[in-house]
Amino acid sequence: MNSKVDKLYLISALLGMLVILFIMYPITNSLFTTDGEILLETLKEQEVINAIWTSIFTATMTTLVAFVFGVPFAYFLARNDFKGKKLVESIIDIPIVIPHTVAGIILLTIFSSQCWIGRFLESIGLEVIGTRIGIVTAMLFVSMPLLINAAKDSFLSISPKLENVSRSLGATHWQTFMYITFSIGWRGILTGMILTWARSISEFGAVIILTYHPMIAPTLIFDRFNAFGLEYSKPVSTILILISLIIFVLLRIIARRGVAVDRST
Amino acid sequence: MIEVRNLSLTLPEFALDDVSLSIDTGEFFALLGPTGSGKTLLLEAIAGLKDIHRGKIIINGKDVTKLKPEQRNISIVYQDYALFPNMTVKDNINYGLRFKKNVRGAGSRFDLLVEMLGISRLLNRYPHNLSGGEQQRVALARALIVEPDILLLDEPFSALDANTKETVQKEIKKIHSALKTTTLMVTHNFSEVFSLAGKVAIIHRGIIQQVGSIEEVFKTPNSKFTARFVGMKNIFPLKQMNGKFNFKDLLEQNKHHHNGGSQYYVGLRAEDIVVGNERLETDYQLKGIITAVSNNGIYSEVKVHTDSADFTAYLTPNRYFELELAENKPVFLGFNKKDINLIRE
Repeated sequence: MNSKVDKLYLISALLGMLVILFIMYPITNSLFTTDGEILLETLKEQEVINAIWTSIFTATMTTLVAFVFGVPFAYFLARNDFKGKKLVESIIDIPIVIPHTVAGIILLTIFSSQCWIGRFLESIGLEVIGTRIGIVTAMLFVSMPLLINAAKDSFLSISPKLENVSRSLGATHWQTFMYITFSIGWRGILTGMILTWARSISEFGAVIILTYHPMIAPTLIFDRFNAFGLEYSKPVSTILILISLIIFVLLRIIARRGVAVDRST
Repeated sequence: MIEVRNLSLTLPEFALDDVSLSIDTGEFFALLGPTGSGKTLLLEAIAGLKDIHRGKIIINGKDVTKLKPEQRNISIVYQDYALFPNMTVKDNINYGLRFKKNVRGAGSRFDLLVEMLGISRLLNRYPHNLSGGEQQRVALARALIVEPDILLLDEPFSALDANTKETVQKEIKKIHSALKTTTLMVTHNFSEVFSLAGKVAIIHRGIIQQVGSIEEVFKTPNSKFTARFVGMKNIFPLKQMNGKFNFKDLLEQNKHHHNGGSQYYVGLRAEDIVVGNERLETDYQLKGIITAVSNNGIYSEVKVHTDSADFTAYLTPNRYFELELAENKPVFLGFNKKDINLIRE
């Protein structure tokens, strides 16, 4: 072993250990201090099951909607220069800097009957406020920038020359996108989808203003904490942590496996 | 035959201005120009990958100007090869056949290309496991398997080391004589085209300066820029030289060039200048003093200061040692009438 220890690296590593501790201690503490029996009891409650299912369902829907709208747009941005492009890119990033309760308020304003959009949707029988659509809308607003930016970076890392060669070899623009651009860039897009999903499942501020019922898991936790206190809200938190971590790890494995398959020879 | 007629295009950082070229079927044509002269842009315009503002591109009598890249049957090989990283070598080569179903005898063409390029043992590998030369060969096979009407080569040798470059050059020559695919290559290196191209065009700042056979352009460059580009080391204003020498008969010969009042230059190749310790038997000669010498093993470069101008001459190393040349040594310097080029500004 190297006897000379680099002081800068040593300090950096020690600080890093504090960071890891700061993240991991509360999580593991929550997992280990929750009584197993209460946890099982909680898992059987219909209200809890419903809330967790609503969270997973709406976060997944949000990710799919973000994919359909965001990926083509990200491709457009990655391949075209136009006047005002910087402005458009800044607009995409706005939701990241808006406090989430504020996002909830401004969404509520346009989807309520005060605004023509709310009145229009009401007239065609589409209810946003107080529904799952409301939850997806709130989640989408705060998480979509993550997918667009990840997908854009992924497309930018693919040389347009690959597309040029593909087209000169007879592939249409659509075929080129499918066989070349998307085939190479899907991993970056998947990473963006994981981030979007994670951001959505953890969203609370914007959702609670647009839709309190049906409850998502964070709303249920908040509701129980307010009404009954810490002890009562903790088991639900622990369950949400476990589910989120499991899904997060699974998706990570899929994304990494993609790397392994591509690199194999 | 490929014709590019009056092609113009403007991008924020670059422009091509009124470019016209004509390339015979089966010909190997080289477009030469310094880095940043719009060569790659012109290739992309011909392939339909960049929109042009004005002009026409005609392939075998058919106007393809408005066709999409996938409808043109033009293959392009980029400087960095642009192999698809998500596919094996074999899939890379066969990629175009997915879309061009009417290529006859694709299977045997695949075998022929793989054999000629010596890439049969690479077929199941992925591009990131290949050397530069190997990637180049795969890119060539991929471009040629679809039987393109034109093959566009973008600086094909610039990323290769000297040895690989020579091998790939030979392979391209071999393949071109076997398949007779009309080829347009762009490069900034004049020496690269000597063994390959039949015809060359010189491009500078988006404008074609000169078109002709290699020999023509090399021997009689028509502008100061082209002269420099093809390695003419000694270029002096005619007025300056005419004061010293009597170039009357030279001017007489080129009378048709010599009106319009534009500035004329005298151009001399460094290898056409003779250096000696005694009087020389050349048409023109003058005395000078050596200001610098350098020797790279293949030839020696000698810079000589004279009253009229500073000359650069190339000598064989043998001659160089024979003459015992050194800095500050006075020498005679001469050249012949037949080696003088009259160049327009």
